[in-house]
Amino acid sequence: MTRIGQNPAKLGTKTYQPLKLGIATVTYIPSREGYFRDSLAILKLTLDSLVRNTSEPFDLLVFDNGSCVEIKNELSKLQQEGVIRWLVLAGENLGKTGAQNWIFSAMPNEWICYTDSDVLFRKDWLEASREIIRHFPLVGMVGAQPCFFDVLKGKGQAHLPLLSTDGFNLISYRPDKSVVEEYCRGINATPELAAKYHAGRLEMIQIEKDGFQAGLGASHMQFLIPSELAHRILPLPYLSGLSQEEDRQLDLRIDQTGALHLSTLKPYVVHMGNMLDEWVRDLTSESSVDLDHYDRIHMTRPKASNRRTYGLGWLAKHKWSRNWLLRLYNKLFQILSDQK
Amino acid sequence: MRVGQNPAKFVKDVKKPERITVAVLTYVPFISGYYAEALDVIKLCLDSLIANTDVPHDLMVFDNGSCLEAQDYLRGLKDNGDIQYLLLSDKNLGKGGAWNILLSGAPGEIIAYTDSDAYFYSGWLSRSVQLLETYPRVGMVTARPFRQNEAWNTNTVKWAEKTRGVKVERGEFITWEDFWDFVRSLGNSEEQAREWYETSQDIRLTYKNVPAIIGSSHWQFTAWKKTLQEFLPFDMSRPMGQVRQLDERMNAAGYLRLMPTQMLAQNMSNRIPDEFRKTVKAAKKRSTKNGFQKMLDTPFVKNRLLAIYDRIFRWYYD
Repeated sequence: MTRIGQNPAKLGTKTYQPLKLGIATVTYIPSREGYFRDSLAILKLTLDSLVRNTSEPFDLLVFDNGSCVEIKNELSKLQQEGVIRWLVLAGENLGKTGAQNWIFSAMPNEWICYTDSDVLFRKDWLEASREIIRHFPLVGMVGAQPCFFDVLKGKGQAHLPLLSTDGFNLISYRPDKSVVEEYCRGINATPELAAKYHAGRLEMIQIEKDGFQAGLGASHMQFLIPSELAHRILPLPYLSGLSQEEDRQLDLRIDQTGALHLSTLKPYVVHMGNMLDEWVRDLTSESSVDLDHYDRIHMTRPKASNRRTYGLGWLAKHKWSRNWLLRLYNKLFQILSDQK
Repeated sequence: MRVGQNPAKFVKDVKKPERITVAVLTYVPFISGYYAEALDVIKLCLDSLIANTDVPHDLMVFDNGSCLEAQDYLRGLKDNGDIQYLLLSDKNLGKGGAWNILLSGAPGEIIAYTDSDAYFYSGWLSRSVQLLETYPRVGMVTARPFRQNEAWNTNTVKWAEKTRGVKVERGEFITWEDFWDFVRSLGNSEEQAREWYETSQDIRLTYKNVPAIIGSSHWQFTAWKKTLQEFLPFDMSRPMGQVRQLDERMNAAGYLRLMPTQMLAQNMSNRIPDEFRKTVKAAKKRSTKNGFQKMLDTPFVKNRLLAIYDRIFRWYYD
C-alpha cells in the first residue's frame, strides 16, 4: 500500500478561486406531473435568463432537494457543461430553509444572490441592485423587484435610525399599474387580492442629496445578501417544505442585525410561477431567452400530462369528493416524492 | 403564472440532518498515471465507511472536479441512498477551498472528515466520538494511532501534565507492525521507519478510564463543527499543502489532539493494498430501498400513480 509517485495536485497547480458573486437556487421537482409538469422548463428559463442577463461572471450553485431522477440527470448535465459550478444533490427534501442553511453557510463568495427556481431575470438586475448597495449603508437584503408582501408586517426596525438621520426621507407611493399587474399575474392573484394590491401604496426611501430612491422591504423569492451577514443569522429554524413563517425568520433576523431590506422600484426579476403559459412566453421573449428550446422540453413531457379528464372533472368541484381527492393527491405526492 | 398550490407547502416535517456528518473529499481528474487506481481506492474507502460506521450519520461527499467516470460512480451511490449529500464541483478548488465549502456546509454538530484514500474498520466512529465527548476541549481525533511531529501536540501534553485525573505514560504503545503499516503508506523506506521508531516514543493518556494516544492529523479527523469554524476559511491558492496548517493552528489554539489506542483506520494512498484487492472485486451494489419502495419504483406502478396524480391536478386547476 505504499504511495506510488507524487500527487500531481501538489506540483503548484493553481486552483479555482471563487468569484465575488455566487448565485444559488433550490430545486424541488419530485415528478413531471401535476403542479410540476412545466417545472423543468421554468427552471431552465430561470437559469438561462441568469446566464444571459447577469453582467458579471458568477458561480452558480444549485441545491437539489431530492428531485426525481429525470431532473437530477438534467442538472448533472448542466453541471458537466459548466453552467452549474456546484451541484448539491440531497437525498431527501430538507425544505427551502434547510437548503438555505446549507447555501448561506457553505458558499465561499463575497455576495450571495438567492433566487427561487421560478424567477425570470431581466437585463441590468445586478446593476440596479448594486446601485442600492452603493447608495445605502448597512444593506442586508436587496431585491430586484418592488416588495408587495411585507413578511415583517410593518414591524421592521432596521430602517428607523436611517429616518431620524438627515438626508433620508420615507415616501409613500403608488407603483405603476403595469408593475402591479405583472406581480399579480405571477402569483395568479384573485380579483379581490389584485384589487387590494392596485389600491395599496408602497414605501420608498429617498436620499436627499442626489434623489436616489429604493423601495423599503425585499422579497424572499430573490435577493442579494452579503455572505458575512448571511453567516451571522444562521442556522435558521426549519420544519417544513415551504413555510411563510420560516421565510419570516430570515427577514426578522436580518432586521435584528440592523441591516436594511431594500428593493428596486422597477421589476428586474419576475416570478413566473409553475406554468409555461402565454404570459410567461411573452416575458421570456423580451428577456432574450430561446423559447424554441423550451418548447421542445415542454413537448417532451410524459404522455400522462396530455390525457383527457374523461368527463370526471366534476369530482374536483363536488364538496365531498373534492376533499377526498385532495387527500389522495397529497398522499400520492408523498409516495411519489419518496421514490427518487 | 402560478396554478394550484405547491404541494411542498403540505410537507410539514422535513428530514433533519443526523448529529454527525461523515464528510469525504474526492478528486480523480483522470484514470491513469498517479490516479490509475484512485477510483478503486475511493470505492474501497466509501465501502468501508458504509459497512463499518457504527453510529447514525449522514454521508456527505464533495467531488472536487473529477472525471465523468468518478462522478457517475458517486451519483450511483447517491441514487442508491448510500450517500445523503453529494456535492459536485466542475472546478478543482484545491483541498483548502473544498474544505471551506464542505466543512462549512456539513449540517452535523460533529464532522468526521476523511480524505478518500482511507480504509475504516468497525467502531472507528464510535471510538472517535467517545474521545471527543470524554476529554475536554478536544480539537481533532484521528481514528488510528501513529507517530508524528511533536511540535503539533505541545498543548495536549501541557494539558495532560497539569490536569488532575489524567494518567500520562510514555513508551512504545504503538507496535512496530502498526507503525510500519502507516509510515510505509506515505512512501517511507523500512530503514527510515526503523530509525524513526527506535528514536521516538508515544504518549498515552488515560482520563475517566478512556485511553488515548496524543496526536492527530488532517487526513482524517473527527471534530466539533463549532471548533472547525474557528479555523475557516483556509487559504485556497494551491491545490494541496495548505491544510497542514490545521494541525499547527489547532495546537496553537490549545485544543487537544487525540487518537484511539486501536488501529481503526488505515491510509491506502493511491494504490489498492494487496489484502483488499479481493474485496474490491467482490464489492457489490447495495440497495437501501425496501420491497414496497422497489415495487413503487417499477415503471408499471409508478407511471400509473403519476397518471392519477396528474389527472387529479387537472380536475382541480384546468
